[in-house]
Amino acid sequence: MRLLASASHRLMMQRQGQWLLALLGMAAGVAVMAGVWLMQQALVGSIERATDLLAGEPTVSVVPDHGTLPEDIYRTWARQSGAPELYPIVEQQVQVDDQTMTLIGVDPLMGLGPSSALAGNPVAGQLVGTRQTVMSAQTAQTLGVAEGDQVVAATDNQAVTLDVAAVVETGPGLDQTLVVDITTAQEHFAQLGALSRIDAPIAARAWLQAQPNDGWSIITASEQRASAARLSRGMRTNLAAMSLLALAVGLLVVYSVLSFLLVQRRPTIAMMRAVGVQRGHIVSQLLGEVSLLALIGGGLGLVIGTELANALLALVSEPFDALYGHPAAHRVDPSWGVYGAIWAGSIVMAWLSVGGVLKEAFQIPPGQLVRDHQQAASRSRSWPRWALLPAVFGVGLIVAADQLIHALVGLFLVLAACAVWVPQLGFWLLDRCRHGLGRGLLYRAWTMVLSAQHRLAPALSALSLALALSAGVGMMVLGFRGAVDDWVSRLLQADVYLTTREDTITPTIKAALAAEPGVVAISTTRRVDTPDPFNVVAYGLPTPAWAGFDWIAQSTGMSEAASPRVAFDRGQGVLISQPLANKTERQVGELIDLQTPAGSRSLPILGIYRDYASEQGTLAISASLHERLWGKTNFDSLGLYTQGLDVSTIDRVLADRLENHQLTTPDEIQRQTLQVFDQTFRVSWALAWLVGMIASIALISALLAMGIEQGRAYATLRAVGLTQRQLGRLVIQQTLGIALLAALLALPLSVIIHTVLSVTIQPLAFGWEVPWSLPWTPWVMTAVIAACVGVAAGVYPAHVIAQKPSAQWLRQLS
Amino acid sequence: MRQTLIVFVIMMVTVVAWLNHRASDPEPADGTLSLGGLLGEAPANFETVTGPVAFEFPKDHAMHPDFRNEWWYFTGRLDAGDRPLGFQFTLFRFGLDTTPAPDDVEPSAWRTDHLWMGHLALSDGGLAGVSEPRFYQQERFARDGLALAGATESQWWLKDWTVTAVDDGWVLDLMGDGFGLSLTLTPTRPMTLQGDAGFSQKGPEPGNASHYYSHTRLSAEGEVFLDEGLSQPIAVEGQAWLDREWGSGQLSPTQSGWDWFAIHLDDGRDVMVYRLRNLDHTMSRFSKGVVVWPDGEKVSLDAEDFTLQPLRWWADDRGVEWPVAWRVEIPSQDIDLLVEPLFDDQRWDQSVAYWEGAIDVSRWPRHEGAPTPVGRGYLELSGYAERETPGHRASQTTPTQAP
Repeated sequence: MRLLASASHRLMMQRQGQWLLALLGMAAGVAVMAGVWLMQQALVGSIERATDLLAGEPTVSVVPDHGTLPEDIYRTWARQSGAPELYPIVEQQVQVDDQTMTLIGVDPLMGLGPSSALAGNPVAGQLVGTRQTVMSAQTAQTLGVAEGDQVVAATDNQAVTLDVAAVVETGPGLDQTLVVDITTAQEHFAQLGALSRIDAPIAARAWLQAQPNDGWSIITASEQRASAARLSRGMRTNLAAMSLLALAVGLLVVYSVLSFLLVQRRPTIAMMRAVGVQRGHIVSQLLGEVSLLALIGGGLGLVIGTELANALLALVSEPFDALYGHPAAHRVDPSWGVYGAIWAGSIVMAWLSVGGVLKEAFQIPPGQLVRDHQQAASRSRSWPRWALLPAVFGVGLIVAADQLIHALVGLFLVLAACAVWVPQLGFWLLDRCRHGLGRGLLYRAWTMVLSAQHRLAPALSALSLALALSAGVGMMVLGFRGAVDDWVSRLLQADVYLTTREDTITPTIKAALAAEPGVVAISTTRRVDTPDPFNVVAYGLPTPAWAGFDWIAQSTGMSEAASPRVAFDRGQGVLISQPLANKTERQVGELIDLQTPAGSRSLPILGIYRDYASEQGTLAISASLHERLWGKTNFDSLGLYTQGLDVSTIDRVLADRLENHQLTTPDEIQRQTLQVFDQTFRVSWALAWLVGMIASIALISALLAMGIEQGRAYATLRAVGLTQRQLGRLVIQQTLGIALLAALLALPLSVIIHTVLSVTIQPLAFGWEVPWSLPWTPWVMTAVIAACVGVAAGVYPAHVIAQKPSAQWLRQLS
Repeated sequence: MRQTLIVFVIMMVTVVAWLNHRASDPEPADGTLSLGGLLGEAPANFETVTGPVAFEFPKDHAMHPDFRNEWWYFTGRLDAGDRPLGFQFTLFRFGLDTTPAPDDVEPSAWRTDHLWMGHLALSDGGLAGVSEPRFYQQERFARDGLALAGATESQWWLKDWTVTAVDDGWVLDLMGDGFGLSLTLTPTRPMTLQGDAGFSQKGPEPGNASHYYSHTRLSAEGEVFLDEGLSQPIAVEGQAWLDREWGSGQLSPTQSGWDWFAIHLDDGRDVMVYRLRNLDHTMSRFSKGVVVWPDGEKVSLDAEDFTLQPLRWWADDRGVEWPVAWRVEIPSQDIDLLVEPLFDDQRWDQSVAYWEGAIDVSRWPRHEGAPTPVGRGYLELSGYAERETPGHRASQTTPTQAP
């Protein structure tokens, strides 16, 4: 074994560049997977961990069913005999500079258990009754402040200057968070007498449940996290799928490089076999090398992945906040459990990925110093029928999927099968096209490629998958963007929208606006307070507003008087968005329960409309029903349908009647919506690029392998008069051809990915369907990228192959 | 090959070290809250104690918000049949230097000018052959905003921990996590004004003093709850001690801690002595004591009137050593006592590091044989954790009972 170890070491020293390439591929694959995994954890963990950190233990939360909790509840409970520790929380989203932060008002005298983030910090006592704040080191870094500095926390109409009393080293739960005394939060953000929630140790749940309930519910932190996880599931699963593909591509690199190294050491192995080294020893040697590679590459990948995760978090923080109403953590919080799992997994997968190489090594007969090309070529041309099984199974899973994971596994299986077939199809196509090329240099180049197809197949697969992924995701995103654009355009029927932060638009204001000569009609919107797990809005809809709905399904009334619109206006039914319909599996005509102050009401569903506003879905009731059941008459926003009305007229009407309002045009709303959309998918693009880069490494390594394996052919070409430049051009033609072939093969794959993402995964993840379309821009982009990758990937192998003296090639190979 | 191996090892060690650094949880705090800022030299807006004042009762049972620090301090020994017990309940108040609400802002109900800390402990001596001794302790904090804590003439409370004044004493209703007690305490002798009519000088500077009075002997009767059966109250009776004290920065910066003894002797006398320790470990000349006779007559003691000699040290799990057994000599009162803890581990390991526990008192053995029990009481040891572990966060002036 010592002899074999020495042989491995010698090879490593001789081929440092190739080993480095393999290391890079492994590290890159693991890095992307670890990065996405850690980022996902951070996204879920970024919600509701602040209290746990402050309390020093897991907590449950008492949350109001409507609005806020009166602080008297806290007083009553805290003074009851046997009361557990109770943590009063006042929470407020604020802006500090351009950053969205969560300002948490706490009683610093509570939650000072030994594990608390503030335990042992004298500032805990000093916070009481002062305008000071404590923040995590990461928050301080984000804001560029230190102890003793000041920050201004502001909402639309309030602001307070806070002294930074302490910066604490703690978990990421306190990132993007300013901890202040509860008095500061209440006094400066109009929360007097109110609490956002009351937290308590988990053991206190039974005690809390025994208290008389007056409009509150108990949820545990794990439930909150689960809720957050559900909400952000769509975004995270898309990323997870891509991270797995990245790892798969990374492993193809490992396979490719090891395969390349095997070519170079074939004579050595044959020689060792000839002198009596057993096959098992050879396989052990190769496995040891792979393990070493995976150990180092995996470790480096974890390091890079951790930093990558932080970078990805920065990319998703804005859309996460916009979509889920909570700032994302700014850094990941890895544990050895996660690191260990990824590391061990990558080693095992590396072993599996080199199964083919091991098999090949196993079969090297003693003394056979070169490979039988004809045999390898004929073997590799046989179509692997076994790949039909995962393909069929995958398609079945996708078609029958009622859970997101099923659809993702199905897609993965289909892509895996395609990855097996892609090279076969590609080389078959190449073989057919080759005959039309005459007998020139290009023909020679393609023939060499075909003879090395066994070596090039993984790289072709990797590149095709990466390009297909980029194009497929791009098509899905562009198709989705187009759908959102159409939806917003259709939805916003009014000419100008008047909005306020709270329900401060009174019927009087509405009447005053309606009395203006240029105002044709007014629609009204109000968010409804309800404990239901979906959004409820109350709409007052004039005739032109109804054109804004893109109906998925509508009840069919027998007459005008019984039409859905009339029934809605009378409060005899509700409209629900498509995500809500999908999540609750409800159809038009069925009843849906609505929690109202007057008790639970079952109302028929009059229509289902397309909506991309929220994942949890929206239920719309008429303004009249809202007024009847909730007794509230004010509105959050108005849509003004005008004819020749000057906006200044609206300002004049509102001048003395309404403060803090905003007038927005549909164009502006549309622009803002698409901006959030684009931010949301920035991370998808970033990952697609990363996968593409890894695939490029795969291609380079494969071409190097081909160069070594076909050294004799190259040397012969040089010997018969091909110049270095011509030989270099031949190599680049080969790489460019392979890359374009990969792009061609990626086209159908990208359509598969796009279709499954749009038609199956989006509805399962978010509840909405995206109308299927076929944007062609990503294909053009893919072709251009493939061409660039092809040329770039060919430069180094061309240099290596062209520079090597032909005599040396021939000497080595004879 | 060896060189390659070294490079590989260095690389792996670096990677693992980096990952370990990222995977490490933040260093947990040691759980000791430093309230040094609150207990150091009091801001000028607090009054200082500079001489005796005429106490008014029940008014002086309530809080004195003009002074920085104040406490209501109960200790006592109880018996549940053959099971010896001890209890401590202390309510600490610390005045805060807060920022007033802006003029244009309506103040929150949580606004407070005081921080309150409650310490509840129960020392269970166990039943011979049945259960082991156990020390229960719980600490709580609160503000007096929203009436979460406070002290009036009729009630002292911190959330649900309440001490309610009744006609002839106080009712303690204190339920902690896994233990609790409900006791009625009735004074059996007149109140004792410590020092000079309640003026207790603790250091050389004006203001190094407190107002201090005690009920040295209260009969105790009621129930305790232990986690072995919280729903099964255990009937107890015994004797307790109440100390009331308030002031502003009463300890001198040259003092490092104190050893305080409160002893009920079987002959009816109550003995209180404390040794203030200087930073150089010598006994401060401001150490004092008192012997209270059954009729309430008191004999004040100065530092030279008594000697306190540590006999045995007990090391806690942090390695801090506490002198838990003592010889107490007051020659003028013919008192020579052997003081031993009910059990050793009665150390507080919450925000403040100190040892406070039940003690058994015997006559100092002049001959061979078992010492003769002559009383019981409480012992408080403060300032040892700071001395033994210089980096410790606990304040030099820990907010335990300053005698």
